Amino acid sequence: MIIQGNLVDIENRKIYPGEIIVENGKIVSVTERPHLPLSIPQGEKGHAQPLLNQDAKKYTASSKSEESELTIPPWGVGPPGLCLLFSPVLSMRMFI
Amino acid sequence: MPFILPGFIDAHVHIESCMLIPSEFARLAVVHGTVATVSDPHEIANVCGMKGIEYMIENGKTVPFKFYFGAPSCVPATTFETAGAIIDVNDVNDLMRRDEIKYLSEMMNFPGVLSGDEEVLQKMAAAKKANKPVDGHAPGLRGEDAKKYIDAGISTDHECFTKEEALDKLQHGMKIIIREGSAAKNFEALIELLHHHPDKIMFCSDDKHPDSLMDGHINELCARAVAKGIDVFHVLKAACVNPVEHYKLDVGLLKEGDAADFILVKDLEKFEVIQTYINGELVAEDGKTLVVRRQTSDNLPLNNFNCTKKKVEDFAVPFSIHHSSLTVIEALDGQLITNKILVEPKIENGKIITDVENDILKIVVVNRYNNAPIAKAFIKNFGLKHGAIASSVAHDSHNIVGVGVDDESLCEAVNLVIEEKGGIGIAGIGLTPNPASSVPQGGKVHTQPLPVNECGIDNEFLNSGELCGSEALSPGGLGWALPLPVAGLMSIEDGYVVAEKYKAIDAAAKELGSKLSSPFMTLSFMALLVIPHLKLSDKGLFDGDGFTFVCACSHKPNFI
Repeated sequence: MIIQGNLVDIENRKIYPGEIIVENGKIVSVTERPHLPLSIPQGEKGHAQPLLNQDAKKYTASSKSEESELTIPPWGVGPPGLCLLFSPVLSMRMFI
Repeated sequence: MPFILPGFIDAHVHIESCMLIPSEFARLAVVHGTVATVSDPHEIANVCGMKGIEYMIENGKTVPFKFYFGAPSCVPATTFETAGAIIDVNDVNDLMRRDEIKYLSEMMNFPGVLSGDEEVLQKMAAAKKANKPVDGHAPGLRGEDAKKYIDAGISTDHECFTKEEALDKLQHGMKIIIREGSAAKNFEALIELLHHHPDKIMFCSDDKHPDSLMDGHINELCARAVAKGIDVFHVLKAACVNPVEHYKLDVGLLKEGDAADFILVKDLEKFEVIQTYINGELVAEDGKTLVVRRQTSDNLPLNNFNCTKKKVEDFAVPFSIHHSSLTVIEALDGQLITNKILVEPKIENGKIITDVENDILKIVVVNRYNNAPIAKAFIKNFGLKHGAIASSVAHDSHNIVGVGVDDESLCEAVNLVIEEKGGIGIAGIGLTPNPASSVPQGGKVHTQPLPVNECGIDNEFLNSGELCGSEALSPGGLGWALPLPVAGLMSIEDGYVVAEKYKAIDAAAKELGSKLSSPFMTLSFMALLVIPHLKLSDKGLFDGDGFTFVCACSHKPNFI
């Protein structure tokens, strides 16, 4: 099973787009995926930047807040149907 | 995209206080992103001893949820009350050898620690030998005494109710578990500590009633903390990481090789949970539990309940001409502590009676393990104008505690609990001037049909709208009880049904006049002797400061 989203790394105080792969009840990999549609700021080369707390507080999965710095809609770009591709549930089913 | 983070952990909870068996607790908790609890089976241990602890462990194993238990350190909690069992040093040693037992739970006998009580020290030594931590419980302990208590090897405390007290303990090396339960609420007083002590703070509920668990859990505390401007990583460290590290729990923290315990939330402000995974299994989604209810076929639930019904005259308090003032318990909303006040007794026909106008009501504690004389005293702030409430959830020994405006109602409420061999009861409902929709009418309790889909359950009971555990006509009005057949503490019904029933009986208690935010929760702590200042045991009125019994009737003339 693969699940994608903004991974919250509490120990290293950062949030980044990525995916986790789960097998037999264990997490077998945690991988950063900079190409994923982001709800957090992009670095100059498109890599996710570690978020400071102040930033992290601003971003929400369905954020329409004016204070948000989103440049990409939180559920992806393109036609609505494409957004489904980024649904964590659908993604998970595709990879199972 | 959603945010993926480790699951929430309640770092100190008595599952029994939810009135739900562990498997039902889990069904409600996972909806809020809770994946594990550091649970103290202290309540059932006080009633049923080692069998009770075994019951909790085994029932917890039937569902995908991570229950970790402690070995109760103080059963019975004191020698000033009648409990149903004893957990001795040998029992603690046996428990410490088990993998399911992660710590020695709250050492509330802090006088014993300070005085070097042999049994207390042996129990703590058993934990140290097993390389497991010892939890504390020392409300109000400060300065040198606090240092001595902590130096003995006690590493946490969840009883701090002021920032200064918590800081004192933090400076001596203790970890503080911020508690926000149904009765005791310390979040506002302590949360600022998280700014500077993120490695030493955890969150807990301690005692949470089922309606409250249905509404939210540790996720709520995270949202409140972030709203107060606390660093979100500090908040998550307290909610997710610190309990795992302190108690050495097998709960994943989103690292390779970890158990796949994690949650998806919509944001890091409200922490609205989209999905909860435990060991890679999806256990909750969009507010609905996916944990399958385990039907119990047990016709004789584990219990220890041996007293018989009482008579109205058993509740009378005779007046003596030597009684010039009455020592009264003052209950405080949102607190486990009480105050001691003196009032002028109200006399009628040679008996001290309640003074409803001044909110001085009668409180009783009835021994549930044997037939014994009823302990009686008076209490302020329950606010009842009619009737009575009673409960066999009465920390720590779980005798029957009741508060009422007259002996008839008190007797009725207590007998409803006895009839069920445990539960919470209410009498005199028909006397309320403005009965609410949740109040029984015509011998039945009716509520609006529930939004079943929102609860994620399909229960014909809920759809029927009938809400009545048992019913009986009392002399002055209706009475009914919510049965708690497992140890007189927990229901075996669907957790959501219990929560709705509890809401109804809570509303009925408020219809009787109580202004307390959670009358039954506050009631359940009025027999908790280890929390000051004045409580009632089944053996009499107890001064928690002097750790001694006191007389309810005083000769002092200084009335308030």
